[in-house]
Formats: sequence, structure tokens, C-alpha cells
Amino acid sequence: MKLNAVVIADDVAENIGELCVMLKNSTNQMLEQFQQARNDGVEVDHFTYCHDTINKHNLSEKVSPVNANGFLCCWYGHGSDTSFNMNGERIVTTTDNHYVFSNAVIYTFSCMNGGTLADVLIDNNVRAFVGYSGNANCPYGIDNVTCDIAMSFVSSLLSGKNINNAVEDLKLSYEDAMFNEELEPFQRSWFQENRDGLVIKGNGGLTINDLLVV
Amino acid sequence: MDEKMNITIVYIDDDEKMKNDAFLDDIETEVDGIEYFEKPSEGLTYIKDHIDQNIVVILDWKFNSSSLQGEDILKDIAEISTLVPVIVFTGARIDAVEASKMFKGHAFSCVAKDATTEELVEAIKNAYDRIQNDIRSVMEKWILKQGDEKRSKPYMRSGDKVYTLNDILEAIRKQDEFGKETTRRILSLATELFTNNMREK
Amino acid sequence: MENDNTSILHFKFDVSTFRLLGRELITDRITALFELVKNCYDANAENVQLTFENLNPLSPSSRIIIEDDGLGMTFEDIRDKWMVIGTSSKRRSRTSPSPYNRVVAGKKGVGRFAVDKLGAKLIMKTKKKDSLVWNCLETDWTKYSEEEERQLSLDFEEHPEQQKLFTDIDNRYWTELGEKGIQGTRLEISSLNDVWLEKDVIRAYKELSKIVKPTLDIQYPFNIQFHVPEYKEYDGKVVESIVLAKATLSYILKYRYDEAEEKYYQEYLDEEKGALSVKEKPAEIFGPIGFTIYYYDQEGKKNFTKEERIDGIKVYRDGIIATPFAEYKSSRDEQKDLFGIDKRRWSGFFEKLSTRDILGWVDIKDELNPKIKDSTNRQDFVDNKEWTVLKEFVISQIHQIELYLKHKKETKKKENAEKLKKTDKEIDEIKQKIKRIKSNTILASPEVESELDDLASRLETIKENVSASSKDYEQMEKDIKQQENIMFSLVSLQSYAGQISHILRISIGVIKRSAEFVAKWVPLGKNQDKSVKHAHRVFDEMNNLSKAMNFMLSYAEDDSTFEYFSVKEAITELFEERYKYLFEEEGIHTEYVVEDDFELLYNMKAFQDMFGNLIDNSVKALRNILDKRIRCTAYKEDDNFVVLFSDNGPGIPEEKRDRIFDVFYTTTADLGGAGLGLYIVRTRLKSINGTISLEPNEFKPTGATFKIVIPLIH
Repeated sequence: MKLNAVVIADDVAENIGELCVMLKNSTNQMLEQFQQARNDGVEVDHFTYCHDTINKHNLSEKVSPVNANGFLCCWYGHGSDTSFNMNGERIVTTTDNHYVFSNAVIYTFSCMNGGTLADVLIDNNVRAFVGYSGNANCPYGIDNVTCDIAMSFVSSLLSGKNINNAVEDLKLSYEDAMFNEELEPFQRSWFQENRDGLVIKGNGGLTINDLLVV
Repeated sequence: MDEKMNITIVYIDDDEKMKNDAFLDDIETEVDGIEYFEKPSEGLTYIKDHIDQNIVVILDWKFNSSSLQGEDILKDIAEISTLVPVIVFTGARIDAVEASKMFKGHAFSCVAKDATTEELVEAIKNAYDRIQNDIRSVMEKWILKQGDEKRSKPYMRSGDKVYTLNDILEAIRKQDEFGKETTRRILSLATELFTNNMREK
Repeated sequence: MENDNTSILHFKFDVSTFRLLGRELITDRITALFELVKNCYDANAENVQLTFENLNPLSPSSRIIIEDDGLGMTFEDIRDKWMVIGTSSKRRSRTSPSPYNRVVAGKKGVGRFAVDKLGAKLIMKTKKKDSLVWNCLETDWTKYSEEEERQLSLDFEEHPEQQKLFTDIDNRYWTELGEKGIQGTRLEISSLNDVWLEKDVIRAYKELSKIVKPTLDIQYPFNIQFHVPEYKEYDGKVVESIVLAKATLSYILKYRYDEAEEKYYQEYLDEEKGALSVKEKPAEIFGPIGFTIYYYDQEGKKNFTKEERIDGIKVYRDGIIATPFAEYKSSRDEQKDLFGIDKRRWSGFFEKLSTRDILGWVDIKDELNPKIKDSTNRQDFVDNKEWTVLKEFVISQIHQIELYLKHKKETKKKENAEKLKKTDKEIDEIKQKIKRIKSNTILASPEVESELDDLASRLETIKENVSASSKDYEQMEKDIKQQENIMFSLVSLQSYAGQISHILRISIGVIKRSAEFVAKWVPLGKNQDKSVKHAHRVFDEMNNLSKAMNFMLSYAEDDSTFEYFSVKEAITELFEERYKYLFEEEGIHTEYVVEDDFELLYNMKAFQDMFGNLIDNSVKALRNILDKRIRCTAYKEDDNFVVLFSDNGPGIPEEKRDRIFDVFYTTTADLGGAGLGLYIVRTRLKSINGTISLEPNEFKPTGATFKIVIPLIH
């Protein structure tokens, strides 16, 4: 059994490149740990793409190999209501590359993808989408905190919880930050905004096992 | 006697004899300081230069020879910061038209020139409370405490915009879209903390 | 049983219809001409050439030609409008096509019949701008009347089919080549009905001047020019607006550019000793302007209709009205009096002109007068210094006219008074003559004597009447003056009342709070010095209040205390009696010289109070001076009585000088200065048309000198 995972991180994203790299690395780390922890011999095939390896034109060819069956896909970078960007380019939009992610469970840390883009993706056979309908705030100077929070979803999902429950865990992480008196008030308020902007679209009852392929 | 209010009164009035008015003598010991300005432009400059201090403005409404009237000065103060409470102090008839000008211009309150010192001091105290307790003033104060260096570093990313704490300070003072949004966010956090929506771990 | 033998019938027009139409509507040829020119106006014409040829005696070459450069007509217009009786195409829209938008002047569809009133033959040539041909039409009314004649000699019963109708007469139509870009209509009327004498042409001219309005819109003018070779005086004459022609007084002030000095000069009106002349001075800060002003007295106003209104001064920028916000308001009162002409009537009601007396415009140019700008709400001009000074200029010009008229009026009054006196004298002389005749024994006879006695006694009666009239006349003058004064007092009061609530509120506030301070701290034994200060403040402010009150009350007093009194006596009394002891106590050396005297109609006490105010101020100002001096000199200068009042105190600082006459302004607040004095003095003086100003100080090195100027009455 195998888990296919695609991580797309905009390492040169304006202002947030470093955070995206952090998110990418943590994700990959977790995937490694997942492989090791699963004692039923599940392998993880993870494909990582950054600005130098993926763009609007080759995205389809990069992702198609895995989209015939379930796979986990993580996006880290700038976004809008109708697009996800890489290196300043809109590589996934409501009309471009939107069909490439069939059978995926998409998890994003990007602004506003949880709106129109998510709807279009779901219409195009994406199994589930977790992202933000508004801003995905990331205050300066505490990227590690932000990263830990974002990873709590991945960790919960990989541990076997379904998407809905994993998102609940994510929300709890945000709340911990909100109540963390060592963080600054503005920062805490922005984490609250993140939490309130979380959306789940598609089938929230899926678990990681539903994505395993033979 | 109440403890001292750490505010500076800025009193702008072109009627020279008001410089010696009894209410000023009376509250002298209860505030940090009193600055009297006959010329509105000088008053505005003072406010601009001391915006990081707690200021309460007392503003005459009708000016004789200046081309600036109370209404205009109110606007100018709001442009520096909407967080400075302005008490309009006027001998003119306060009718609906004039009152609406005052409040449109963000006046904090309005006192007639035949008020007693007690009434004036009460208005000043209310303004002081507002400074102490209004969430925006609280935010302002917190930012001011952070020190110049930190305040000028990038603090927050939103979409493709980057804000420093100084940017946020200005936005809060001006109450532009971003300033209002930030205020809303803080209030929302405060509300949640207050109602302790935290789930048991 | 139904009758299935139905048919349709139509009205027909007998050929004599042409007499019915038009002729009844237009009763004379001047009116006819008038209507035709109105048509030109409604067609957006800018120029109308009116030619009269061979008017007297009449001949086949006698012609009247009306030629305009208006919109012209197409063939369809001729066929469907000109040739159709009773069309109201003009009435469908009440304004001519834009951008002229002229309010339509002509009467409903009668133009074409107006022609018939002037002459029997019409050749009309008309062309629209983008057409290549002139549309030409010939109407010969003689054909219609010939037909009429012919029918009279027919036997209708015998030959009904030979009856031609009005609608059957032919009017020839053809086209002639023309140029694109040219437009207009030319009516050539020949076979004139009547001889035109010079007085007929003059009448036509006068009537037409009623069409030309004073420039409501310089951009779209309407000019009518006469061409009358036979009457040289009117040949080439352009019709001038009757409105402007009938103005009682008219002035057109221009500006010029001096190449050598590289600056602009402005013409302005200056009244001096009853004569109004145009002078020149360097252009003011608002830039050089053209200023046209017409004044209408009662007679002059009679020429205006309800539609044309005399309504003040407008502003045109580069030929286009710049004050649309002041225009065309439905109610007269809503129209803005931009220059505040009517506002000034509060001082000197009977002498000031209003917007109903003067008509005119200020011509500005964008490049010469850039600071006269529309405000953002487009309802006014930006209230800057340049606009303020321009308003002052306009008002001052109107004022010159007022002075001129006033002078004329007074001269007239004098003349009348003289005439009355002369009449008196003449009567005496006649009486003397009668006496001499009576004593001349040659001429004397009982009959003659009794006639002479009768004459003498009648003369006596006449003389008494003349005397009485004279006295009445004088009294009437006094009454009018008094009414004026009362009027102004009332209005002063009105404006003062507006200020009073402001004053009250401030004063009361000051008193309250100072009293509060004293009440609070004295029992606690703290803030000693300040308490004393505030106690004084209460006292002084109460004084202020009572002064303000008294000032107001003085107006409420019985107005019969207006009287004639000697100014010299009034001032002398102040220095020698009322203030004598104060001066002694304060050690003030006073010097007063009243060279001339005159009788002033006013309230003596109020007058003295004015000087009292000045004295009080000086006394306070001199508090810390060692060698205290007050000086007061009064003298006549031209038509004014001038008083100079000086002290050698510290004087008034530069930056305060324009504020010293404000209500409640004071520099001696710490010395208990009232701050009301000079305001009161100025207001009181205003009611007798006087002024007070600060002059360079007489005493050196420091001091204050006030100059009071009161115009003399005869």
C-alpha cells in the first residue's frame, strides 16, 4: 500500500517564502515519520515541488501521474479567491489546471483559496479541501509557531483521524495560540482570524487510509 | 480628591481673556499640563508634535479673524488622530446644524461657555476615561510601549501587504479600513477571551 | 330605412381666406416687421440685416429685405411648416435649439402672413448649413387678390368649377446653388403696401430695440442692423437694447495694458463734489476687469416688463455667465445677491441702491483674473482675498453713484429751498410795486385802488402759504432724517441682538466659574492669590455685562431724545465737567481744541458716551505712564467733522490692530478692560454715517490716536 503525497511550496513567495519552506520541510518530515510509524508496511511516495520545478505549464504533467487514485496534496504560498500562485504566477486557477487534482485531499496554507477555487476543485473531483476563506495570517517573527499550528492538521490526519476531526485539532491549536499570553495581542487576534476562516469542502469524513493506493 | 489624570489639556480659544478662566486654574493640579493657544495653527502644531502623549483638546467653535473655524480645526485634528478627544466649548447657539457639524467631525462632547467648572471638569474626566478605556487607545498605548526599533520593523503580512507596528498605529489613529479591521479583530479576540470560549484540554 | 347614399365632405378655403389670416392677427406693419425679426431670433440668428430701399415714393423697386444667419429651412420645412396654416411647431418647444436655448419670442405661426402686411410679393431664400442649395419660394399675394377679383365677376351658379380655392393658387418653388457652411433666411418683400416715412423707420427701430435684451449671454448675441440709404441717420445703425438705452445712468469701465510700464490700469468711478467722473488707477489684486453698470430711476424702470428684470450685478467669465448659481431662480428672493448690495441698505436706507435699481456685469477673464474661482460646490466663488476685494470694488463703485445721486438730490433740495426764498422775495417786491402804484396819483383812481388792494391781500395770502410750505418742507426733511436714524438704530439693535446671546453666554460663564473658584477655595484657605484674581474677574465681567445691557437699553429708550445739539458743547462738557475730577485724580494732562462747531442730530448723551469710552480706555492705558497726556482736537474738513483723540500710553501692538473693534476684544484685560468700548463707539458712529479708525500715533514714542469722522448735514 502506498500513500502518494504532493507538496507544492512557493519558496520564493514574496514576504512568506521562508515560511513556505518551513511548512514544506515540516510536512515532509511528518510524512517520513508516518512511513516509519506505520507497521503495516505503507510506503510514502512524496513529491516536492518549488518554484524551480513547477509552473503553470508543467504542473499538469507533474501531478497527473498520481491523480488516477487518491493522494494527499499540500499547498503553501500566496493565493486568492480564484488562484493559487507560485513565484508570482497563477498556476492553479478556476480555469487552469483546476482539473489536475482529481482524487486529491488538498490542504492549504494560503489566502482565500477556500472560496471559489475550492468550489471549482470539488466540482473537478477533488475529494476534500481544507483551506481558508479569508486571510491566512502569518505574523512576522513567529513563523515556527505558525508552522507548528499549521502542521497540527497534518499530524492529526496522518495519525488516523478523519478530516473533520483533524480540522478540529487545527482549530484547537489556533485557540491555544489565542490564549497564549506569551504571544502579542495583535498576533493572537490574527490567529483567531485564521481559525475563523477555516473551511472544509468535499468529504470531511475521509481518513488517510482512504487515500492509500495499491 | 481624585488622582492626577495624566493628560495635557490643549485649549484653543481666540478670546484672550479665556486664558485666565477659572476652570483652568481649578484643574491645573489635576492634569499633567495645560497649553493655551490663541492661534489654531499653533495648537494644531502642538498636537501633531505631541501625539504620543495623552491629549484632551478643548476647542472654541467660533473664531473671529481666523479663516479657520472650529469645524475646520476639528477636521484637522481628526486627520492627525481620531483618538484625541475634542471637547467643543462654545458661546454660540448650539442648534441642530452646528451640533451635527461637531459630531460629524468626531467631537467627543460639547460644553456651553456658561457651564460651571464642575461641568467642564466632568467633561474632561469623561474624555480621560475614554483615553484610558477605549480599545483603540489601549492598542495605541501598547504599540507606543514597544520602542522605536521594534515599531519600525515589519510586523504583519496580509496578502501581499506588509505592515509595521507604526503603520498599524497610524491606521488605528486614522481609523481607515485597515485600522477599523484591526480594531475589530482585537475586539473579537477580547470578546472571546472574556467569554472564555476555551475548551477544556 | 337606412340611407346608403353617404359621402365625406371637407372644408374648403375660399381664396379670400388670405385676408382673414394674418391681417387680423397683425394689425400694422411695424408689428409685422417685429414678428419677422422675432422669427430670426427664434432661429438662433446672430445677425439680422434689415434693409429698406426706395421707400418714398413707392416704386417697383421699393423693397424691404430681412436677412438673417439663423438655422434656415429645408424643403420639407417649407412644405410642411411654412406652407401649412396654423402649425405650432414653434410652440412645441419653448426654447430654440441648443446651444442657444433662447426663449421663443415669435407668435404662433403668423410670421408668413406678416409679410403680406408689408408688401404683396415675397421671395424667400433659405438654406441650412450643410445643404448645397438655397431653397427659394415665391409668394405673390396679388395673385390671390386677382383671383378674388376674378371670382367677383364670375357667375358662380353658372361656372362653379372655375372657382379656384385658396389652396389652389400656385407658389413657385426652385433651388439655387449655394455654399456649404452658410446658413440663413432671406425675405425680400416687394410691391410694398405703404410708403415708409422717416418716422415709420424710427418707430420700427424703437420697437425692435425691445427684442434686444441686455447681454444675458454674451456668447450668443443678437444684433439687428438697419440699412436705410434714404434716411442717413439710421443707415448702418445697429439696434441698441432699449433697456440699456433707457438707463438713467450708464457707465462702462474698462482696463488697459501699458506696454511701457508692463502693467494694467483699471478705470473706476469717482464722485467728487457732486460730479461723477471716470478715473484710472493701477489694477487691483483681483486683476483688471471690465465693469458695466446701468442705473434706473423710477422713470427708467417703467420700460421694463415683468420678464426682463433689473436684478443687480452678474459676473461673466470669458463672455460666459459665471454666476449661474445666482440666476434664474423662480422667486426673486432666492436669487443670490453675490455682492451683498441689498445687505448694505441697513445703513442709510434711503440713500442706498438695491439690486432693483441697478443692472450690470463684471467681465473677468480666466487668464487675467485667475483668483476669482468657482467654489467646489459651484454655488459661490471661493472666499479669498481677491474675491473680497472685488466685492468691495463693486460696492464702492455703486457707492460713488449713490453719492452722486445724493448730491444731486441735495442740490435739488437746495434749489427748491432757494426757489421758495426767492418766491418770498419776489412777492415782497411785487408788494412794493403795488404800493408805489397806489401812491402814484396819476394812475390812482378808486377802481384801480380797490383792485390793487385786492392784489395786495392776495399776495399776502400767497406769501403766508409760501412761508408755511417752506417750514413744512424743512420739518419734513427733519422727520425723514429722524426716521432714518431710528431705522438704523433698530437695525443696529437687530444685529447687536444677534451677538448679545454669545456675549451673555461667555460673560456669564466667566462669572460663574470665577465665583465658583472663590467659593471653593477660600474656605479651604488655599489658592489665595488666584482667588483674589477671580474675585476681580467677577466684578469686571459684571461690569461688562451691565455695559452691554445699557447699550441695548439705550436703543429701547424713547426716541424723542434725538435732538440737535452742539458738538463743541458736548465735547467741552466732557473735559471741563464730567471727567475733570478723574483727570485730576489720575494726574492726566489734557488738551482739547474744538476749532469748529456743528449741530448734530443725535442723542447727546450717547454721543458723549462714545468719547467717554475712549477716555476710559486711555485712562486705563495710561496707568503706568509717568507723564500722562490726553489730547483731543476737532475741526471741519471738507464735508466732515473730524475728531482726533490721542493718549501717550503704550499704544496698540501691530498684530492686534485689526481686532480692536471686535466685540469683547481687550488688551487691558488684566487691568479690568471691558473690551466692549470700541465696538460700541464704532456702532454708534455707524448710525450717523461716521467712522472711527486707528491712526499713526500723535504722541511719540508710544501712544494711540483714534480718528473719528462724522459727515456734516446741511
